[in-house]
Amino acid sequence: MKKSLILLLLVITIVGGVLRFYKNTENPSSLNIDEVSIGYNAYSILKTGKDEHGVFMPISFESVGDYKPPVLIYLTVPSIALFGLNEFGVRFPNALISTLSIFLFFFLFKELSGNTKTAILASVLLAISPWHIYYSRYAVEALIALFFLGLGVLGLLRIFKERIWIILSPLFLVLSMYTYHAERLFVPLFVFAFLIIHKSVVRTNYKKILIFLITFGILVLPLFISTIFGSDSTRAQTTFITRDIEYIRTVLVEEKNIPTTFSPVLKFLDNDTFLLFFYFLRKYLNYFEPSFLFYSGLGMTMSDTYGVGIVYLFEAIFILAGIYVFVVNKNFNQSKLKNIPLVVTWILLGIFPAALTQNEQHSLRTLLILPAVILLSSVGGIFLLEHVQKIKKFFLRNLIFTIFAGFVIFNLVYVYLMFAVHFPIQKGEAFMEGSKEVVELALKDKDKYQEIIFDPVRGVDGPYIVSIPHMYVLFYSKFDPALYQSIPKRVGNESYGFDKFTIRRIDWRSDQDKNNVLLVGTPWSLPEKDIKPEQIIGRIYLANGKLAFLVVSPK
Amino acid sequence: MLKNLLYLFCFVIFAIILRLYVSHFLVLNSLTNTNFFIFEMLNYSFTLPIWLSASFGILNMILIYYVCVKIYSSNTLGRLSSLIYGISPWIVFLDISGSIYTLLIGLTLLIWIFINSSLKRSLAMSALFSVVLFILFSVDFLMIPVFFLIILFLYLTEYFQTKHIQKNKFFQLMIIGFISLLPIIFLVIRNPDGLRNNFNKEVKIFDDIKLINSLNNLQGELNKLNFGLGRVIENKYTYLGEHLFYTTLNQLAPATYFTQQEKYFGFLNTSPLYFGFIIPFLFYIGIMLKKSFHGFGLYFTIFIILTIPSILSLKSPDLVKASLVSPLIILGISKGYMYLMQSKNRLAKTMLMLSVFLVVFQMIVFIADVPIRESVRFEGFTNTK
Repeated sequence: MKKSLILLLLVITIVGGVLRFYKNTENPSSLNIDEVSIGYNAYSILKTGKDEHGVFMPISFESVGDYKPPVLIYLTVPSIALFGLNEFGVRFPNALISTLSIFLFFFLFKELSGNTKTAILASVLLAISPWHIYYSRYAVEALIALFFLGLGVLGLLRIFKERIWIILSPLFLVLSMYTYHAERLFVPLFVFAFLIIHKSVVRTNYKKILIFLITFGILVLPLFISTIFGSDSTRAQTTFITRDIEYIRTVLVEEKNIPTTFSPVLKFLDNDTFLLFFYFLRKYLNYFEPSFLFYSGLGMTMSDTYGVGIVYLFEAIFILAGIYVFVVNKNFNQSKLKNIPLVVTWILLGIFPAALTQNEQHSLRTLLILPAVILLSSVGGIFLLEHVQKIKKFFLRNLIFTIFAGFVIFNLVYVYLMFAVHFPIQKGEAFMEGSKEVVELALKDKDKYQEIIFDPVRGVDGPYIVSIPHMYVLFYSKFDPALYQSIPKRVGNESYGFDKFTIRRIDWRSDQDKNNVLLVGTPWSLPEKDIKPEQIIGRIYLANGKLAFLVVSPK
Repeated sequence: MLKNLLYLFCFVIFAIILRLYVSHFLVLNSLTNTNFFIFEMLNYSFTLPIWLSASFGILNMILIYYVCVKIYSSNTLGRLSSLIYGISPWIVFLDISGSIYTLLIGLTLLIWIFINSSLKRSLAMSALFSVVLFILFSVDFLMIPVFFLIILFLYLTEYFQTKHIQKNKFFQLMIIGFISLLPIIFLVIRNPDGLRNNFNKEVKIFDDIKLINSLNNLQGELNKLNFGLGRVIENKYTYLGEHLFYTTLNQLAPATYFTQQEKYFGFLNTSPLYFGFIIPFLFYIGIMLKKSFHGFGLYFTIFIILTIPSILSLKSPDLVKASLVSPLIILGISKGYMYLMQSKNRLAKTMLMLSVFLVVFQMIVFIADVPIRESVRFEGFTNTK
């Protein structure tokens, strides 16, 4: 590889790195529920080798009952050891791995397209991708899984050329499956599709493929057992499409409302499974909607507001051109594009896991298709660039470039404003903004109180967000994991407690008479008008200026 | 010939039975009744009776068959298009709802036939064409820009392709268009308030209160910063421009036409077009891209122009107004099926079987769902209205 190319890649990577690391502890404004949980479990592993529940080196972390995949937590352990139990320590692995992805995915793009120019443009688009940047600025498993998936696919493509990948490729692919749930369904399907698409090469290299499959099978076996028989099945059940609120509300109709006079045949034909199948198809196709792709896919602003899509608006032109190149598949950049069926398959299969789960258009669950989407966009970009360069009229050519450059700059500034200005204000609460401040305030005079009560329900517009204050207490007090694992917990009906901390709903009518108690809750549970000013220890506001928490000492 | 007519007759009978069956369980007329533009200008109330809209729907089946035979010289294409038109829930619901769009679809098909068959033939043909155009403009004033844009676009395309334009034919069409407009212009001059009311009723793209509130919020948040470029990027005009652009893009989303949509008579659990139809449709788009980029451009632009009424409505895509493109989509599906049937490729054969299976399967579920659950769902929806 040329030195100039390496230098260029390094520059692109550094730019991408800056976009990922710059103020990543402040934006997103707070650690969300999953992040504190990941951070504290990593801290617990570091100190005791066990998770918060005292299980030694688990392959599935029970956490708060959501059974988190293990890889990100284990990756966070060295980061916590190095930087401490704080925001940077938790977010560092994602920022680092996403930055490395920019450099390493160049080789994946090169292998997939067989074209250096396309691979360079794809790396640039990856470096500035709002989708990739957003998920690299806080701790999410999907981004780490994507990194391993990319390396696994790169290995898969090189498996017939370099022996080392026969072992490395299944290793990375399986690692991606251990890292995030969506890959658990996608990877086996993708490998199967790869074998079908390359069946002629597979026939002549069946020994290599056999070793690949055996390695893959052995590595995936513990995960398979855990998913089918163990704790991981819980996660699958709770997120499955049948739990989708819209499906229950609108597709199904309450049994009592269904007339009983119809024939059994009609009733059989109108059964839940058939309706679910068509509902799944709808969810699947919804991922191709322009709203998801170009202006609200990332959910960085309130619903019904313009925000940021998973790709830039200017990429719409690239993607359309990319589809044209893929369909026509004629000579492109002096060579025929490689692996078109594989890239298309990647996108089509990649949406399956997300479409099978509840919630509309989930950009995190579809993150695994990002390399394929970026490649499609860059193929279109290079195609358009070549065509514009061919225009002989100097003025027209430069006019097109200038208008397009203006559009790109407009888009970049727009997305920057969304990230820097609107996202922290509009989505602070979704990231549990204020939790750190309120816990720190409560911990300041901890010794003065017999009991500190946290209300788990929050929300400035209404008490509808359920939080896990105990995890924030554990995280920000750096509660000794060994002690936490051993001390008795007070588990009651809708309450949880340890040490002097209790998590339960606050009722000011009865709680106002308690002595030596500190109450931490929202204005919904602690109505300000009923509380004397001297009883209020502190108020915590969100970035949008709304009051989020009150800290009150009744007596 | 007789065989084709027999096929068509069978399809028409089946379509009538399907419409009678669905209308027995779901009464849709209260949702789509809209007055004719011309009657509003005359301060006279008139709504289309269901029997008439259903009759227009059946006539459209025959017209679409005729278009395929006349323009594409293919009986098979005609039969397929007519059948797909007859069984698609999108059209079935439209026909039994008393919507004026059943009439508009028919008139658009007629104009398609007129434009393709030379207008030079006789004065009588031109007069007939003027009448068709006059009815079209009288039903919905948004059809005026739609018609002129299509004519302009067709001739611009011809000019860029051949560097030559059939001026006579172009001016003939434009003159007929303007003559057909004269009575309406006269009425507009006499009753400008009627036009304003109708405009406000039909063009609601920027009236979404949620959107306006959210734009105000965004601007408020930005004003707290002293960032000059921000105000250039984020202002009312850029947002509304973007909204128009996104709304236009939304008309192209396949989910709108091939999966169930809440925006079509509430939440009807059946998709406007059966999901299985997406396979031949995508094949058709692919083939057009491969073989005739010009053909694709033409198809695409006319598609967008025909969705103008839907683009301009409040809850866009509005599947009642977007039904104007239904013949175009159905033609694409039929051509896709023709390709799949003729192809010897194993993938094409598999896709054909999969498509047919999905269509038949969904249609059976649709027929079973209409009386059992759809009526209950629909009742809930009309109650909330």
